[in-house]
Amino acid sequence: MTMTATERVPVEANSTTSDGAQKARILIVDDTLTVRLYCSQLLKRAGYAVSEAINGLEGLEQALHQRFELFVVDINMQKMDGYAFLAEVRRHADLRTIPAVMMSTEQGREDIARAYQSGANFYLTKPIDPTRFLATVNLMTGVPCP
Amino acid sequence: MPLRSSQPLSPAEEAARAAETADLAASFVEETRALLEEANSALLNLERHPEDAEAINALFRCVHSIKGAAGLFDLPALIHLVHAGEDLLGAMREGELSIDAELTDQLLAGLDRVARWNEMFRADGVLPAEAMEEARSFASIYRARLGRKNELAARSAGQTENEGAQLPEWARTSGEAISAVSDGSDDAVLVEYTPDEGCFFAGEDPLRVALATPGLIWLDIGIQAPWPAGEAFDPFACNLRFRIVSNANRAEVEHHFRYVPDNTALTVAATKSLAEPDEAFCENMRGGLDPLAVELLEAQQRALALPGRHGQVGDIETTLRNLCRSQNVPCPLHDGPADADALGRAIADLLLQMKPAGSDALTQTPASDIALERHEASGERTLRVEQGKVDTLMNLVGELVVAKNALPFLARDAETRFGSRELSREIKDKYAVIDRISRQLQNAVMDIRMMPVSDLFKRFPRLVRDIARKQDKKVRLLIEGESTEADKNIIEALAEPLTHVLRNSLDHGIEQAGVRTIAGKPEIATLKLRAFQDGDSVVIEVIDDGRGIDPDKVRSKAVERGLLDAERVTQLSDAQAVQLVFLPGFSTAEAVSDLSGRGVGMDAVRAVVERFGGHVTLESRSGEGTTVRLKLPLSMAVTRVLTVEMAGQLYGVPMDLVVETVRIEPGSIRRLKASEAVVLRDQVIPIARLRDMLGMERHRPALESVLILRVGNATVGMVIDDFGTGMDIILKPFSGILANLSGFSGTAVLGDGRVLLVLNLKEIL
Repeated sequence: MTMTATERVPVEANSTTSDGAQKARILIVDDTLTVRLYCSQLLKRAGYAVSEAINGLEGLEQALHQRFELFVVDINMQKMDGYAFLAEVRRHADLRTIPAVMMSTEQGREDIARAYQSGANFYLTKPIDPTRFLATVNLMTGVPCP
Repeated sequence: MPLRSSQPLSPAEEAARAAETADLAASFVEETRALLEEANSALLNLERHPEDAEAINALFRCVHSIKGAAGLFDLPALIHLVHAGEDLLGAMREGELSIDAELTDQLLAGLDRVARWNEMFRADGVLPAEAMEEARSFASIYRARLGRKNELAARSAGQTENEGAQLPEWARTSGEAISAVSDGSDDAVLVEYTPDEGCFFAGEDPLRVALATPGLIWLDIGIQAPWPAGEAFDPFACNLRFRIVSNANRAEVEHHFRYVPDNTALTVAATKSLAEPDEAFCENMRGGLDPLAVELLEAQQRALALPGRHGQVGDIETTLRNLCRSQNVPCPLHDGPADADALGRAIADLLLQMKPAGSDALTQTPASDIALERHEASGERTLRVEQGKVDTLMNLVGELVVAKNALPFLARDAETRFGSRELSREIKDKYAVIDRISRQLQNAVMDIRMMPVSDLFKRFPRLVRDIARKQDKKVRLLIEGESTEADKNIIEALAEPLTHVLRNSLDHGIEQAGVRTIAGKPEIATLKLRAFQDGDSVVIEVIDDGRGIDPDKVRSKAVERGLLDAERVTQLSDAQAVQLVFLPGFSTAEAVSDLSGRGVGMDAVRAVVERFGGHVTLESRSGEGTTVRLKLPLSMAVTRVLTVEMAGQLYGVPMDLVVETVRIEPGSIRRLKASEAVVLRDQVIPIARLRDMLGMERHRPALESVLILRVGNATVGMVIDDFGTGMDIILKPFSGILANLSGFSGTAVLGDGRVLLVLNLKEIL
């Protein structure tokens, strides 16, 4: 039994690869804690620095305050969904060059088309395949294959 | 399932990953619990306000999130159910279907089932064997609601999904064998056919159905579950499953299995991909880019072509440059920002150069690996405090409160034994400061433990709805004062008694709509759940406008149950008679319903409330309704007691029971038959002697010291040796071999180190 004293606050965390080199910084925007936890563990072990946001609005706030090399964005979220988040990102001069992966359970062609329309550069279907996910992130951030 | 990893893990890494796996599962369970709760309340909201778009959106979002996270674990049944529910909610969101009571029931039942599985997953890490079957029956109920037209759409949507990412596990493991027998056609239809256990009785012949599959190229027959032991074996139950690969087109295969849509899962896959090894990524294949890079390039091409994005291509450029860097190929882009045309040319260039011949078929992705690999600690830092730590803090504050009580003793000693008035005064001044700080500290810690009663109340709308529906009653539940706060332990302890009180109201108080109309009452009954703070107490009331409690019925039931004799019962006023429901073993239920009346009566409610130092009252107006009022202390950490002296030994009496203290002439205590009483301000008060109760000899003082106590609804005078002072104590319940000691509720350590026994007056009087 735990008691929550404050709201969960996403905290920026740095990590480095085993060889000490710093890989890209990635922002995960997803309202599901379990998914954030999973992605973030996956990415951090691969040496990425990861930040998390629970919806588009929070994601935007973080994106405007620190530099990221990639956004990993869910679609269905409260307050600001993934489409709206990407649309905002693409409108913003400082953010529009940052690539984004959308990742959701939506399967329909329309959803995927809308993802690209909003500004996604790639679309991954949940459930997350860790190998595919990491390979995509490596490709999109310019990390050479091992 | 192990992560496909290039290097083996050290034992320490293995252990760390196991811990991470457990973390992730725990996070999933906890989050799913919260989402289910939210979904429940959104659903009830929706039922009340069918047009509420926010409610349907919230409900959809919860279910959607559960599905998204569940995909990380091996929970096919849970995903199947949630997926079907999501389809249904999707149709509701689009306005194709509207909510009704039956649909609400079906959805609630689905949420309940998911909740149960969630707890099973928490406890065992797996779902029971029959889960998939249950999931299918839920899915077919939901699909039936969607109607025939949508059913097809829903099904084909499910199949599209399979095409994308999820090749069945069996197809991967048997991939090479399958592709060896395939005749080189590009697409294969994969079918997993799991007939119902009772299919033979429905005239099905599963083997025949499987063998007659059009275009059959591969068939594997296996069992659904391990065979039961000899005597449990049922030769008429089908336990087979069929895995079929066909090179016919999908429509044909679908048509063949049209009678058993719920038992078949269809996937279309490129046969070549079946033989493809898993680790296709990050390997330059046949001299070209890795297939994912090709996919990514194609996605950029597609994005570039979208009209809405024109002019905003910076992200595509970044992606392209990164991709080239990652693949270690020269980037065809010049330095400096590129425009859409340049990007388009560069992408085409790269694709043309690098795409290996025939790689089209490689866009098939390997089956997702839903293994549970967890890595590193979470980046999310939460300020969550274990309850144990707060309890420790509370105990320490309690001890501080007690320890500071030593100072007045010390001040007295300073004066009487050492003759220093000044020192005594200084100690008293310091005591005042410490007293103030410790009180503030105590309040602060208590504040952490405070929880709004809404945490308790939120379960009731569902309960009331379910019971009302089951009994065909119309009830509106009003909740007031949800934000009222009380100690966490008290809130948690109240869940059961309050549930019981509400059930009583619904079972016995509130009438059927027809009965109400005849009685001239509104058809819809009102059940009010109200919480408010009253001084140091929190009060929770359950008020219904039902038929009230019939005092005559209570009287006869009390006699029938042998709780009171007929003569005593008739002497009781109606208001007093109604209180008999608090007697142990009382129930007014005509017939034992499956809801209340299981032997847990109002006496149990009273017991719980009194254990926390509260009390219950009940008022009933015949034909108008019943009010049950639970009054509890806001917090329970510090108890104020009055110390009483008995033969030189100190005992504690809870201060809230003490009405007054009086000294009376021994002669004014009158003997009435076997008992004693005293007349105080025209009221006859029965007398009890603590010396008798503690087994001490009586003594004969010049004046008797009497504590007038209010215990429950009775006033009692208790004769003691002498009054002491009032003090705050931390009551420690007995433990170990003393745990069953009756007559005392616990002990407390006094400032001077002595142990104070606190009397449990409700028990001894």
